[in-house]
Amino acid sequence: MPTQFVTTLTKENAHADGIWSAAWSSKNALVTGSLDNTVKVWDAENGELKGTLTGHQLGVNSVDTNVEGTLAVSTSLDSQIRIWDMDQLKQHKVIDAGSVQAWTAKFSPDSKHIATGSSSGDVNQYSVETGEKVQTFEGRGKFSMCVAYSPNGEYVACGTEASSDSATVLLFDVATGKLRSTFKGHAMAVRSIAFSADSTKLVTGSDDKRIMIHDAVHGDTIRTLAGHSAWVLSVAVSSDGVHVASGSSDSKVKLWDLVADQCIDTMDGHSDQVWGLAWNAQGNKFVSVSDDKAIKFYSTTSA
Amino acid sequence: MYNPSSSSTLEIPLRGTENVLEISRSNLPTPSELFDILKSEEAHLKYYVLFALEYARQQNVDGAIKVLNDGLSVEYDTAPKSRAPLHNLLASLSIRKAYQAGITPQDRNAYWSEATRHLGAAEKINPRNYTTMVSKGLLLLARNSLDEAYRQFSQIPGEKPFIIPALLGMARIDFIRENYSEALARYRKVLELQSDVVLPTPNPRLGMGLCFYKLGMVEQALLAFERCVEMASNAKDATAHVLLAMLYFNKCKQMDLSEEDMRYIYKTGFGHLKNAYGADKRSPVVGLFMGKHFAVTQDTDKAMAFAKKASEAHGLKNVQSEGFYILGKIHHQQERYADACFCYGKAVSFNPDNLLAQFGLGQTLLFKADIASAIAAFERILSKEPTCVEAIASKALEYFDKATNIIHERQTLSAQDPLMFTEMAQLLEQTDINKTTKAYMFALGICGQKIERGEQVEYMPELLNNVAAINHMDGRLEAAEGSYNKALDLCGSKIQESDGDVATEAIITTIRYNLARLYEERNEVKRAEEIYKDIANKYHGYADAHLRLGVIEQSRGNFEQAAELYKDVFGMIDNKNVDAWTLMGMLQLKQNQIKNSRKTLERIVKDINRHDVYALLALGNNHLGIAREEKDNMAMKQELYKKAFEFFDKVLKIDAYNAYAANGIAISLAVHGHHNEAREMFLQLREAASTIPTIWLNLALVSADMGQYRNAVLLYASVSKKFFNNEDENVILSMAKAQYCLAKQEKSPEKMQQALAMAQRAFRLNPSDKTAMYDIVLIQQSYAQLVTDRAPNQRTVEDIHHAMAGLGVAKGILKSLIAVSSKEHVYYEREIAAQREKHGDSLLTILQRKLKDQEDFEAEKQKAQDETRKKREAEKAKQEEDERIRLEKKEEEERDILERRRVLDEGIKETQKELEEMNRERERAERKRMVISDDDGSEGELEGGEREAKKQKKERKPKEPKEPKEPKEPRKGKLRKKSEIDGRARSKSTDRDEDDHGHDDPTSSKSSSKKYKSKETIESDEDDMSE
Repeated sequence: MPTQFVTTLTKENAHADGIWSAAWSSKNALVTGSLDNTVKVWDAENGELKGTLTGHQLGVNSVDTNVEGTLAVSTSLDSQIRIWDMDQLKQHKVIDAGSVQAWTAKFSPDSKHIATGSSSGDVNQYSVETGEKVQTFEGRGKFSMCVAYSPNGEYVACGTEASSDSATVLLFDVATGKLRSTFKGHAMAVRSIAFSADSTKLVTGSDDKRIMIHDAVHGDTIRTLAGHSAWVLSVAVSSDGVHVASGSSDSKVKLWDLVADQCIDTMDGHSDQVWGLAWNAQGNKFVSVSDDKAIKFYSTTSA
Repeated sequence: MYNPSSSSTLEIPLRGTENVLEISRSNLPTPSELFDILKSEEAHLKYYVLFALEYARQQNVDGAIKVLNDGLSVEYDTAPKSRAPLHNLLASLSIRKAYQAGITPQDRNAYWSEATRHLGAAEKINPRNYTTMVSKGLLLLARNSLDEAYRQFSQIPGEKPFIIPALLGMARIDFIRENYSEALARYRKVLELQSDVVLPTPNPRLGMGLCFYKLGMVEQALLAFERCVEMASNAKDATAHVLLAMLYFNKCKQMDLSEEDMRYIYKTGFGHLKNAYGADKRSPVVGLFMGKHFAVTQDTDKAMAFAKKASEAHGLKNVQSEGFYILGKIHHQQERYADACFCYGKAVSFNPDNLLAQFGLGQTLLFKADIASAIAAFERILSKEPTCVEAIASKALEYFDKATNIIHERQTLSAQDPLMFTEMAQLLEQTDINKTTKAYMFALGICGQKIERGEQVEYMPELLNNVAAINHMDGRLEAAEGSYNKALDLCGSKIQESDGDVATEAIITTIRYNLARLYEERNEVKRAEEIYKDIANKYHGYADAHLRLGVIEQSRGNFEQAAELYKDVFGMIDNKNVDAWTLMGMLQLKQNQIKNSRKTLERIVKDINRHDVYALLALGNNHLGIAREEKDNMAMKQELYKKAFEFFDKVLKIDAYNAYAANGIAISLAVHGHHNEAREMFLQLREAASTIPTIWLNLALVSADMGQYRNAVLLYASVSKKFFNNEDENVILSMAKAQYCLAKQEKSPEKMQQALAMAQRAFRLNPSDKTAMYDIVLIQQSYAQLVTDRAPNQRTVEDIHHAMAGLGVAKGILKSLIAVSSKEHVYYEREIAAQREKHGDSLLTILQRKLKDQEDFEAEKQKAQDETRKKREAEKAKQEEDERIRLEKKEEEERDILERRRVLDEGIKETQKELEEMNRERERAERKRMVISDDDGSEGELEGGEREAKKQKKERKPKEPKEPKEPKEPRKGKLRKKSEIDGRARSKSTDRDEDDHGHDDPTSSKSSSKKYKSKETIESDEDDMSE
């Protein structure tokens, strides 16, 4: 009997416009970024708003928190990377990446760096401390739409817009800065990417409606999950490595059991594209955010 | 010898003289007059023949018959030898009469007996008279005794002139017996023999033409008939004309004709038909074709009239059948099913081979719910022409379905025949997938039973494949895959049993191809590709496999490889493969090779199939696209639109319900400024074909063109969600553009912000798209402009800050847009982007100044507000003080009054007491007095006084409860005063509002907008958002 998840809380109109990204910090703070130019911080336990962070001039495209839960990073269509102090709920630093040079951003597991995907296809690594660009992982010229660090810090992976040879998922070795593997298979753009907690699996979601599970160590694709009827916009892996949540422009959230290798649940509570998903550290709760301005909290029945 | 062209007069020798009476051919006397002359002159019987022939030539057969009968009745010449030709001619004329249109069977028989009688008489005179023999043959022919007729004709020796009618008769028999080449040879022989005869009747070329036609040599037939027409130019040959018309009409039905050609051919055909009609208005065949023509042109009344005439052409069963068929069809179209059914029935009774009539009969019988008869009608078609059914099947399908139910209900034997269901399913495939599946399932069920019984079912794999294909098309991929694989397994075991079976190999290939399509659909491109490659290697001619490989390459962006694969197909496998050419055309379009694409598509229409709807639509869209891009040459633009319109129009002619074509036409209407009409058309289309997103998009576009931006935005929003899951950036950009226009129209920065959100959504969907970025810039700047233009009291410092920040972002984007390498194709002009940057800078400067003003304004406003508040507070304080004083005063007054009243009351009580005291004393005194004297009057007086006092008391009593009201009255007065104060305060606040309005003076806002008018014009010059 697979684990059951139920919707425990829905925050309607959590933002003034569509919500585009979400991150769940280790300190149980939920960070959301929206088309309304703001980043909001919520108490992930009860869904209460803790603060609204302003500064971005255009929609907030991505948010992430560092491992300690002390900092958050956000990127916006205005090309600014903003780092926020999560305790004081104020801006910590701004990095001007240049036009469309910082599409989405992620903290490195050691919290020292931020990796961002760029229009040139390169993945740039910035220093959190200095705000300087310190390393570039050279892509293949295709717009890099999403990035992820492996939790062990060894790899950086990115998903790109559609390419002629369908090599839309790239895996870099952080230590050498070299391209380690490319995964072909997605026919269209890859908009979301996530590692499993043990850093062995790489999960990607694509406009081709499918989710793929890749072996990060051996560089091959393990399986394909099909079920969404439209673009897969977001994927997230639970910390126990059992579940993958996926959000799609078909407005649905699907929950996949990686052990049983099947879709175990489909939540259709949202009324528009589901752009962001985030698991808590225990892997028994997660949230989804959508263009319908709502945040939905899900929890295992046992949790 | 009678020779009609020898002179213009006929001569009758006058008895006893050398003189002759000349009678003009063009002015013949009536047969009775003529007889009088001939009798009185005792003219030789041959003159009777002469005149009879002339009457006959002038189509007066009855006259001819009369003359001949008269001749036979004369007593001055009864020599059998002279009488023989008259008998012969009478026989011929009778035969001719019997052929006449509209004749009743009784009359016909009468003519035949007449002919038989005369021939008998002639034969008695001379059994070896060839004319008699020929006539006898003709009579036998007319009576359809083909063998005897043939024997008769063949007895005639091979010398002129008798051999000619014999040959013609034999040719006719050959023709009837469908020995067309022999018939043709005989007609040719006639032609040779007749080369020296000026006007052979009947013209053997007619027969030759018919033979050619039957032999499939249509062009030769056409030539033969045309020659007939030429030769008979002075006397129009109705038959040749009508045959020509028929040939031309048939030609129109060919597929590979251009529109103009077709129209021209039809016109030629109709020209001939008209000539035929001119030559012989009574010809039933001509009438029939006229009827057909008017049925085509929807001229129902005329069609009915002609068809009715044709249906009454007794003796010509085919013509009657056709006539009834036309009548039936017209009734059918006008939904008079009973009448239609009757006519079809008649048509069928005259000619059971009239399949169209059979079909109509079946249809109308179904309407009459006479299912059994209907099925019988359909079965007759099936038995006659199993292949023909397919041609008319699409119409028959719905009835087949009903038929199944019947068969199913009755559990007849045929229900055990899976093939029947398979065939039915195949027929249904084009129209109703659900029923198709049902039929297939039924067939499968029967097959399953058969297999259980151990019977062999040959076509099981095909059946499975078809079922799978339907599941496949319906998106039930799992089920489809299962069936495909099952079918493949069955084939596999079949192959093992008998290896190298070609048919099974073919089925395997088909199933594998289908399976590959399924994999492709499931995005398992690799698997699909492997199968396609394998098929393409094994069977090089399997074009579809090559094409799919091409499509896969194309989807990967490998346009060159894709093009190669398409070229392989039309270059090496099949030059007429429409799919290959279409794919090529679309690929070229994708690569922006618009001209090449057009050429490719034109090739399909020109060389392969001028009715290819897809190619025609693509060409229409292609022209539409080029027309849209054309910015300089307006004449060219119009021309392109016109061409596009023509293509769509053509599609609509082929498929009147083609929503895409109607859509294209509506677009042309829109671009020619007929926005209302276009909108109307799109609205209708949306009703009819709500699943085609382009119609919605066009509706939105036209709404935007008409300035109905709000409507346009709503339409875009719904179409984006409904059809594209909000995934299509172009739709969202279009929505942003409409919203942008709406914001400008309403001068609303708030609405402009919504436009910005939309553009951002589009940008996020495809971050590589510079157009969305450019639009963001444009919106940011327009927002800044709108904020600048707003009156200070309608905006805030925050708004200005926001606008300035937006300009900053816009500048950053513009810089990157300007820096985009010139090699990259972008949809904006780099120079204009540079101008935009400058424009943004100047806007920023203005905003900075405005910011200062706004801050001052807001500070002042704040101050004013503070003052007003203070004033109001002071006022309020004063008011409260007044109130307090008033209240105090009031309380004092109340106290006063109460006191006074108390005093008064006490006084009254006192007086009362006194009075009572007095009364009591008086009573006492009275009683004393009563003893002394009885004085009524004084007593009455006194009583009255007492009463009055009592009354007074009473009156005062009800007054008492009123008393508490009295203190209220002054309070009321106070309340009124308070409201007066309120009124004043209110008027104060209105004053303040008016002050505000002073700032909001329309003239001042006008002047401020005027101030930037010059800037605005720069703006509006290049304000269109890039598309």
